[in-house]
Amino acid sequence: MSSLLLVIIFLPLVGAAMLWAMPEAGRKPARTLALVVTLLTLVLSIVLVSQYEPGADNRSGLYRADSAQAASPDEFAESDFTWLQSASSGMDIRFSFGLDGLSLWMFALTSLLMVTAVLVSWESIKDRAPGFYALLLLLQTGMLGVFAARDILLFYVFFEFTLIPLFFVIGIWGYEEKQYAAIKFFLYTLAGSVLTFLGLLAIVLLVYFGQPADSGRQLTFSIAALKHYLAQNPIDPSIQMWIFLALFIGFAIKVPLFPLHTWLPLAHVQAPTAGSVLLAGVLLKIGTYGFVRFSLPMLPDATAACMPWILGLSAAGIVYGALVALAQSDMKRLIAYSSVSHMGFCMLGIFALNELGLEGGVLQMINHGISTGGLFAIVGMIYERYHTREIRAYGGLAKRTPILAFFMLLFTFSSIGLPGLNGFAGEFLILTGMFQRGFTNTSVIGPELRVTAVVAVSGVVLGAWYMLQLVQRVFFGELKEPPAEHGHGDHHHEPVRDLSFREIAALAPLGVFVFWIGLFPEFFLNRMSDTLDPLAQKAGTYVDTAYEPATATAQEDSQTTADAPAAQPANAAEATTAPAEHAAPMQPAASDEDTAPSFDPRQNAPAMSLLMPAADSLLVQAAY
Amino acid sequence: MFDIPNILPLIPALPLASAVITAVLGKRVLKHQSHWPTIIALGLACLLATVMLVQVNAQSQETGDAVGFERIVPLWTWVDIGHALGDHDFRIEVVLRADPLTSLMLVMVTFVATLVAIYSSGYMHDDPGYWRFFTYVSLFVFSMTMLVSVSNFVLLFVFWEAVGVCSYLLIGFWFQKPEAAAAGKKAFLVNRVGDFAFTLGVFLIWTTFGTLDFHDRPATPAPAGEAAAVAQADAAATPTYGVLGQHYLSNEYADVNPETGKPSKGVLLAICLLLFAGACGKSAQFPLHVWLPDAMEGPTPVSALIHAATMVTAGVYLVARTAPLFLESGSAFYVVAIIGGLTAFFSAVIAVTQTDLKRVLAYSTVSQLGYMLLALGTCTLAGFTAGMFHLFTHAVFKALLFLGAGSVMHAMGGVIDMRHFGGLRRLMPYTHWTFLAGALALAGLLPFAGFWSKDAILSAVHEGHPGANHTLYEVLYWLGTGAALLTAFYTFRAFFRTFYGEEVIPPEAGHHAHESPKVMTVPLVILAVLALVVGFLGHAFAELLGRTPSLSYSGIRATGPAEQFHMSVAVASTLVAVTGIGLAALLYLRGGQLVNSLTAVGRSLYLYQLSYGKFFVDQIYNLLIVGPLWALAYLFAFLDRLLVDGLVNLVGWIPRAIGSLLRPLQIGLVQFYALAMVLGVLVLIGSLLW
Repeated sequence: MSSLLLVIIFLPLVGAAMLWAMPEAGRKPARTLALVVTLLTLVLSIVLVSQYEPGADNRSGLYRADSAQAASPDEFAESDFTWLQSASSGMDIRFSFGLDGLSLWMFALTSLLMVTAVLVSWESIKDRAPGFYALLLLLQTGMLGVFAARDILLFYVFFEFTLIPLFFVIGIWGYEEKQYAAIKFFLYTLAGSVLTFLGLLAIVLLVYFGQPADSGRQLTFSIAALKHYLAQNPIDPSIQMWIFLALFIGFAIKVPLFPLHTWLPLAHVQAPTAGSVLLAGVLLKIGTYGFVRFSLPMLPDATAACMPWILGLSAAGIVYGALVALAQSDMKRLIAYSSVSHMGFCMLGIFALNELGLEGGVLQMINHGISTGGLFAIVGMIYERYHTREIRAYGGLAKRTPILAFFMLLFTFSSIGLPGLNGFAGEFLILTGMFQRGFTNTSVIGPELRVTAVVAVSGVVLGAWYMLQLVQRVFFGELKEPPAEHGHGDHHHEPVRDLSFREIAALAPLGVFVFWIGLFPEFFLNRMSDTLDPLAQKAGTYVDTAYEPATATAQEDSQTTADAPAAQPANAAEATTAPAEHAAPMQPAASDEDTAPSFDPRQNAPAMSLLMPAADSLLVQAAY
Repeated sequence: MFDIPNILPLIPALPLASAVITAVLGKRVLKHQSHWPTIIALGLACLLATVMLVQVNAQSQETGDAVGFERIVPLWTWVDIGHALGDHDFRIEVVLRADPLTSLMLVMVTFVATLVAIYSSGYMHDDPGYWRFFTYVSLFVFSMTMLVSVSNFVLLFVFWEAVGVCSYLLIGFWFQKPEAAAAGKKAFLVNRVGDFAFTLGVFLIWTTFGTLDFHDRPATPAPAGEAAAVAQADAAATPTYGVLGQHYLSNEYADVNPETGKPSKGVLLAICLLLFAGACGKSAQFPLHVWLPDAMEGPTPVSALIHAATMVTAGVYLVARTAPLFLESGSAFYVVAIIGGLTAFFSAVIAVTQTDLKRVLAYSTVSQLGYMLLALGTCTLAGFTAGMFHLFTHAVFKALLFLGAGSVMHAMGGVIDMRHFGGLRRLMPYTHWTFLAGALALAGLLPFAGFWSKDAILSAVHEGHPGANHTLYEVLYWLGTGAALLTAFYTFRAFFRTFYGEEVIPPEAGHHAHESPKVMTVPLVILAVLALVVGFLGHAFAELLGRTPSLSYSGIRATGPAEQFHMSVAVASTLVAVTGIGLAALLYLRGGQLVNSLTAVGRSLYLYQLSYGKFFVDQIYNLLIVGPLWALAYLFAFLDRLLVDGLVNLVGWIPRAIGSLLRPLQIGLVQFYALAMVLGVLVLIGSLLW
């Protein structure tokens, strides 16, 4: 099984190499080869994923404590080789891949969306097709590798590796402002990811120097080993904060979290359809994936401290993205801003830091990939027919293209979180998790979180508004078609046709998942819960300590003492109970000072404090 | 074979199957026979629902009033996240329940739906979207039957939204009409506002109770012979107490959540008000009523089924279902009563001046739903049974009136404005007589159904809530009586204008204006007969309904059963109804002179405009909410380019600016570079020597 994972990851690379070797080949062999390779990858991925058994030991992957050192034979789809090793420094960079409950579905989603991406490019890519498909396949290897990497350096290599193919895909096969969009996309995300890299390096070095010098330090890049080590020897909270910020910038740009989103609409609008599908469907998830993979387990104090701010930004992004989407006149731009809004939901769920939110957030990553991937594919199909993305130019298309309208309505309903479809399962878990975070256990910042939660829920109403507006204007009402510009004169009077078999084949698998996840989300959640639940529980305990009224209210003694008895018992701290409504921490917490993250004065390993100067200098570097 | 667990899942499954069959085969195979799967499935579902009602009635008599009767039928687990809130699992199962309330609703929904489906096979004949129509209708009946039979808040919300989508699809059925598409969107969005509150309420229930189930989930015994499962069995051995389960019903919410303790009245009040806001959206109560009149853009059978008889009653169902919460909150039911009473009165005022027959009926529906909620707002057993009974009688006679209006519309070539037709009683005798039956029921005249249920409501409101401020219910009682007067008036205004006076036929009807075919008039006759007799079932209905677990809650049961007949109320409401009919007859049967002069007076007092303009709620919304949101959207879109992206570009510009500052140094003269190098080396050496 371990070799199967490697085969899947590098099969597209082989395909890309073959395409590269025949640049003069026509469009038809190129796209056929690409389709064969992606279909083969998909089939193998299904085989691999179907062997993942929830509740069995093989699914533990990255987060098992006993897998700290190198590979243990019972890990799922694990493969591990030495890549760079230096005995003198104990450096050990491993060529190590594996899947766990977090990466499993992202891996599968990538394989699925690639087939859609190839099928939607079938006719629209006419120029230099072998190069285009080679880059797509290259991108696939990058994306699969990112999700399967079990070594920080390997992760980063694949992380950057996804950038370059997409840069060319947008820059060469994009639309009017393709070069500006490509450069902006590239520089913006690169700037962020450099900081991310420094942050990741800082973690590795801090762990290295944290080990006692006499017993043979090991410079390990293994994610599992680092996480295992940091669970026992956490980094000093204030240093965590710096590292967290470094990681945050890179991942938040990738998500993109408001207000770091402006590269996204541009890149989406200018990218060819396949680029948009993959960008929205997979690449944005690398950001949220990074948060769950690195920030949450390795920097728990900083995560807890930054939680209210990130939740606030997420909720702001949800509403902001929805409102800006409402004002768009370009279909692709509208859906791009809807991505900003929806990814805000993912972030909200993840940073609710409890099981419901985290599982919902990860589920929503899949859902967003499917529904937004589908929506971009549909917009591409409309564009292929009429060559404009202006909403105003259309009307009543449901009459001309009923099947296309059906899929549009399906993905719209999925995107606005209609119950019974996939979007609802994710959004509901996320918002329940967010509510739970706001209404229980965190009395100090409770009011802010409650406002955040309510604001986020209002995004659901706005989401329905802009999407239904789009559907109404484009598909309903009287038929209004922009003049179709046909390349060939002889086709001039032929009416625009509904979806072809190929196009249905591109959308139907996504439609299946819309229903499948919507009706049986437990099938998917079950396979991620063993990875995510411990993570969420651990993060939750950090939040509880960070915002516990007893430790955090030192500065408001005068008021606390009066009501102290009410706040003392564990159950009275519940925000929803009557006594706690009147507990002191609640009311004064409205002011800003009280919401400032307060750290648990946790004692660190002595080795950690010795390490402080080293870390400081490192952070100075990071700042530049 | 006919056990409840066997038949209950079939009741929603049959319409679902017919929806799938019609969707797949309708366009190519069934074509103009597309109505058959739907009619057969709905008819069978109606039969099964009746069988189940009989069984529930028989079995519930054994359990008695004290605990109520319910049977739980689990299907599959939707989501299960262990220990999500303390010890509480976030476990959402797809579960159906059978209890008196559910089985009564099921019979009502499937029965009306069957008749409407039969009627539609005549009404929708020749429509190019014939198969699409029956697919949607089946889908709707599936969603609606699920809505009333699921047993947790999440699934309730799922189907709450699902009926909303069917409504959206059916309002916008003729999507080429821009008004229809816009009305569909408006209905969906206004409902979303209500659902926004609904979801908040559901989240709050979760954080307060640690469960979203209605029923208690019994402790599951450990699977025998599995040693490994012992740890899990420990966790599963503790039963979970549903929000509306026996545990809380018998302990009066004394210990809701081991972690949070007894919920304060404030939290329960918040939960109830949020749920009620959702109910207001679905049941078109002020201030979220604006979507329902616009929904009349849909085909008329849809208006009869969804926007009069079934879907819009979901809000009433929700309040009845969660009755113990409303009672325990201490004050939420006052809000229900006040909103219900105000809506009942003011939408009746609006209905008086509308000229579109369907809109008159639409505002009448809003008004009658307000009536039901007014009754529920007393939070007494009498009020609940009266409100729910009115829901049933209303389903019968309002479906009848809408189908009658559809029959008129069918004959008039799609015209529904009462100014363009009149005197149709000779042309359409069946429609005329059946419409009269419906109108008398709506006006509440003895012995028609509406009389009994309206009388029960007014009696319950007159009694008020025990221990509550009596003035409030007194005022509401008079408001309700006033609404009854207006109801009788506008109903007969519409009736007289349509069927009496000079025969006027609009040009759209062509030369073939005729009575509707049998397939449409037979359902009308059935409903008309029912509108006459169904009122006599009130007592049996109330007795059965009282055995619903929610309504057998001790606090509600303590308010005592409904008084059989409240003579003074009955006399007053009959007098009022007769007055209303008399006024309508005076004004509209005997020429228009009086009407015109009255209208002129009304105009000068702005009352007429206020009513005709529907109190301008739509305009106020546009001004206060929709407009500002659009402005905000454009502002943000502008700022996004200017400010947010501008800052990013600024960051990108700085290195370029620095670069261009240094650019003059790169002049290309090798001598200059050499000079710079030499100078640099000198400086370096100098600094080292220093």
